[in-house]
Amino acid sequence: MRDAVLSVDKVTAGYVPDLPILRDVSVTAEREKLTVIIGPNGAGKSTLIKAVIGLLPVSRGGIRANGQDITGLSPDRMTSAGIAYVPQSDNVFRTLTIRQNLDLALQKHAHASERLSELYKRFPVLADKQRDKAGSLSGGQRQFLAVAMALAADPVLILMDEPSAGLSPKAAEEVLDHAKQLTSFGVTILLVEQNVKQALKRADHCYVLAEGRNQIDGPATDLLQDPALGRIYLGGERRVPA
Amino acid sequence: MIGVISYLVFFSTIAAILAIAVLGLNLQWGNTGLFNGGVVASFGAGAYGTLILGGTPQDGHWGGFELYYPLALLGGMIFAGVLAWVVGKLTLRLRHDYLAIATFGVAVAFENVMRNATTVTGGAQGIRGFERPLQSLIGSGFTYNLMFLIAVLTCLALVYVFLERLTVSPFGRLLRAIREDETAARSLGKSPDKVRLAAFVTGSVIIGLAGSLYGTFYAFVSPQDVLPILTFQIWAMLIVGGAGNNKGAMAGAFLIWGSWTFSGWALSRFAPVEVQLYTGSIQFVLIGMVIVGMLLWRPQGLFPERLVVSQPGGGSRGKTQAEGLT
Amino acid sequence: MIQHLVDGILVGSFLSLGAIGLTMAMHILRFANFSHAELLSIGAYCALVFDKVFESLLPILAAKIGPLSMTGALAISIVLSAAITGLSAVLIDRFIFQRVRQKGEELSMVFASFGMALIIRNIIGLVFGLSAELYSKDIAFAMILSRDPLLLVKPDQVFVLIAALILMFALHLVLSRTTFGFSLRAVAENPSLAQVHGVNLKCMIAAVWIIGGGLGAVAGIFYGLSYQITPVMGRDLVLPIFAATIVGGIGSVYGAVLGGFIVGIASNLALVILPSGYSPSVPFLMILAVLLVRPNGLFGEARA
Repeated sequence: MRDAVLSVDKVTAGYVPDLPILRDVSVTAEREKLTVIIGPNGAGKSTLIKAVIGLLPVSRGGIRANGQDITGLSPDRMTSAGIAYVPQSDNVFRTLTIRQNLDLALQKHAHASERLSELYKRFPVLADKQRDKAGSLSGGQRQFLAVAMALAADPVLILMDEPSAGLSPKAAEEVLDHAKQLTSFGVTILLVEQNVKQALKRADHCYVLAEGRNQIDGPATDLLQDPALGRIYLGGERRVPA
Repeated sequence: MIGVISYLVFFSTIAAILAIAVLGLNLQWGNTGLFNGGVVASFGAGAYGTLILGGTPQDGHWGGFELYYPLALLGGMIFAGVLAWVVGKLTLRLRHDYLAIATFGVAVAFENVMRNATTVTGGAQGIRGFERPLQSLIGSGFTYNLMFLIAVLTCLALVYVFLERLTVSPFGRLLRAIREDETAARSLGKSPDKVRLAAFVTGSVIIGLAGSLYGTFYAFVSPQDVLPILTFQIWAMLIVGGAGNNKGAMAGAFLIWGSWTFSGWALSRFAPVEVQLYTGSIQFVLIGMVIVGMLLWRPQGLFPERLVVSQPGGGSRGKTQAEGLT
Repeated sequence: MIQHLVDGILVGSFLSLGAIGLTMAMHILRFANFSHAELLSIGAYCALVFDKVFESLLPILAAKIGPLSMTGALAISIVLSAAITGLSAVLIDRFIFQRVRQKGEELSMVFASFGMALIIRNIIGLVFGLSAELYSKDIAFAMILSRDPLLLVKPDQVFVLIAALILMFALHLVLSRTTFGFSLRAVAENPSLAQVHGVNLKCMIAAVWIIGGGLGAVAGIFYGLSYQITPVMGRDLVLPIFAATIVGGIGSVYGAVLGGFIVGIASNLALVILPSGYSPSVPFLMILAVLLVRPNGLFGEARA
């Protein structure tokens, strides 16, 4: 019996109620594991993450996280529920300094200054540039800041949307390695990725979505070898609405 | 009896003139989604333009070109159009409230200049010495007023027909396309800004026509005729009647003008003497409440738009659909 | 001409205060609020009422502070008035603008703001009468700062300038050093990201209105101290305050401050060449100039 920190149960969601993008999607993220969601463009991967974090309305189905029903919970209550989110783009406040960004993320923390020191230890580049505006950072550095901000509130679960997007191959690998490392520190990670190989190399479990629906899922190592994966991406074998 | 009919003729003339202005505003707002915060500037440009071009030479102000009336009328409309073109060119490509602020500013500046440029505009005295067309033939009396009303109603009908034809023309389809899905329209090579500018200027020219007729009717115009309240009155007419719907717009004009004159009459008749000074304020509060009330209760107006959909299943969902794909 | 410059700076001080609230509302709430200037009227008249009440309750408060027209009663009234005006702004948003937004679209709020401006302005006229009022009936004598060139300044005006600068500096400290300030700036830059990091959007929006209303009230009172209090002060200040936000760039508080002073100085310097009747048109000319040269203003950023 898997210990699910997040269970998305047959969720239908979209930006506009009568135009669903996700249909009957179910996903589980197991405790302290790296679960990855992949799929061709337009599959609804980012939409799923946004639905979980409350930025999109859910018309059917339920979402439970950390023992709590979070379906329809407003995004600003998510950090208190132990869930953090790193968006794909625009994931830091560029007009604020690194320090100000972190202060903002830490504002509800009981021991903010200690936590800040911990974060600086883990991400020394942020400590060096703490007075610089986030807009002046490189793409990779911004990504680390975004992850640091997500970690600020001691989350149980972190949702990441294409963390390697727009990064150099080396930076992309660093970010994905770091995500894997986080699971060994007790954090559960659910991440959406376009970079299939790099994601599957590090993931524990993987779900494939296409056209807003579940296709296949299983342990990442199995999926790497599964020919069905290629067919789903190329549009051959896909689950069609019943 | 003659008195009542005479009053009704007078009332209908003004209401019809304002209805023309509301139709022009409807093209800007109802069809194109543009916020004209200075309707009175186009109106005033028409009035001042026509009177300056068509009037007899006077000591107090510039003008007196004594142009043949139709030319003077056209001149006023062109003046309104040019003013609109300048403001539109500068603001239409920016966020939508820049247009609101800029047009509001134009109206403030227009009244200010008309009041202060005494040698050109007569200042607070206004433009005088205009002889109404055909007045020498018909004299001024009930007959003339009736003829004038018929002329105005004809203009109104012409504008109405023109705008209805415009809605179903290729230009009208283009306007709808831009309103519903701008990105798609752009990808087809249509320039939304140019189209919006054309619609904005056309609307202002129509409002200018209304102003010209207004100035012609009174044979006089002064800064008191181009105060901001006129903008609010015309907006109220459109909001009450129904934006996007030309018939509704005209109905709104008659309704609001009727309510305005009625409330003015009722207040002056029944309100105690001490309050008389404040009848204006009370009317302004009422019209403000009409505007806010309609927006809260029935923003589509009393006679809402019969949706003309170019393609079934289209509509404003187009934009969000593009956002939704990941 | 130096006199005009000085006058311009003094006018700029309350234009800036008014513009700060407007620029925040325009950027975060995405609507041009044509009734914002009426908050200045509400503030000024509120203070008038409180001032008279306190003076009659506790005559000791009627004593003027130094060479200023400011009395103890007025000082307390400023604080109360700012609070009440801030509260009114929140209520107007909650009951009118937000509802209009739900039923219509963003531009509908602009309409509604026109309507609200009409209502507020004329109700003030109905309640308080149409004639001008003053906080103090005593004539305030101008100080002669220099004789050649002639430079006259009233102590009240100096007070207004200094108080305005102090307020703006305080706001700067809040924005650059407190997590509340960071939250406000975060919401201005990226509202959904701010929410994701625990910022309550509704609270921040209310805060924007309270700050805008409070600063607006102070601006209105300072205007009243410098000139007089009339029901049409809102109407007269709408365009200059919008001009200040556009010059400075919509969304930038520092831009609003700079814009306020620029508009104030330009409007007064223009009097050197233009007859005084034309001064209401100067803000419009400035808006045109900005739109021609640099539409986003000094510090504004285009936001989608």
